[in-house]
Amino acid sequence: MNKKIEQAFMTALAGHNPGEKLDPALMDKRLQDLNTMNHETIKVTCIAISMVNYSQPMSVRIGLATSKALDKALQDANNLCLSLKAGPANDPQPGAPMPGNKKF
Amino acid sequence: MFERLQKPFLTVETGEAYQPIRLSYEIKDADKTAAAINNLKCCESSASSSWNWFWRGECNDLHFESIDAFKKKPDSDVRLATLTLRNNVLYINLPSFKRACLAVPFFHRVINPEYAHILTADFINKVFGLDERLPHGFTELFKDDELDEIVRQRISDYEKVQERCENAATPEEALVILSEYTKKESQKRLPYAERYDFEHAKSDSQDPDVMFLGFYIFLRGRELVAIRRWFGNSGYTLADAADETMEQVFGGMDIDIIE
Repeated sequence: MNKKIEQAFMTALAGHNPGEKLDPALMDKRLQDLNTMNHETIKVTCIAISMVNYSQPMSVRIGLATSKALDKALQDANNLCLSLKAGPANDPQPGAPMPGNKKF
Repeated sequence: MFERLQKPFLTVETGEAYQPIRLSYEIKDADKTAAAINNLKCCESSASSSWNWFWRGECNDLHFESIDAFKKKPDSDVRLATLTLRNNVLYINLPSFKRACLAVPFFHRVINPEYAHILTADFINKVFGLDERLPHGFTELFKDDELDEIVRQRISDYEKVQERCENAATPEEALVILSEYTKKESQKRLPYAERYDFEHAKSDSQDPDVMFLGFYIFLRGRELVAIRRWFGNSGYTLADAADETMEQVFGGMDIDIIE
């Protein structure tokens, strides 16, 4: 599935030839010198995941970095949101019902 | 970054935004599925074929990073979700995307996929205000035919792009085609309610971790869009979320792609 894109993705990411085993040292070396193509490729892949569950060619490394970045952005947002609420940080939020509850 | 924020949104106890989401599993063996759930210390029967999922026992080590200050209280278990087995479908109803992302790998591990097999996740693309009227359950939120139609249309569009990619002369040309497609699609406004289709997302490698990671990015990207819109950035799209995420990956936020 999407063999050509996967090839482009892997080639752009780490100078990797399809079919060869990824050499972590080579990958690290190439990643030190990320260029526009890398950014664009990774961005396209991430958006493709977001649009159509396109996870086939996804490098787990890229996926983990992306999920960490999302976590960080959302954590910042949640902390800021919490700081605007009255009461101590650890107060349960009584207004948050569970789906399936009568309240919900 | 969030300078336009004027008021807080509704959050759950562990700090993340309240966004109802329902996971649906196809049941191959209802008795064995129920037995597997009954064996869990973290699940407690609440009625016939219904359970509460608590943050304890087997899932004690689940980690929420939603808020810095959240500490688990030893004397009261946080309820993470409710489970219902009905008409050969297991529904797991959760109040946040983060919990859904933790639930999918957890239940994949503790319930044999041969007994219960995940099909879809239905969710809404918005966060709620503290005093906003909440929907009266999932029936009001989700219309099966509408959710199916959105998924069908998107997959159909994508398959056409995929075919063009496969027929491209070079990998670079294929990437340009995919790039144009994602650029166009990611600028579109997300629908109010949406469905994630696990069958379509199944990786060729059959590696469940890749599938879980794809689900995580899919949902958390949407959560970021919903929150930024709540902050007043009404034109914020998935493309902006991808830009922001990439900036964090490659920027100065100590998130290193080489680990």
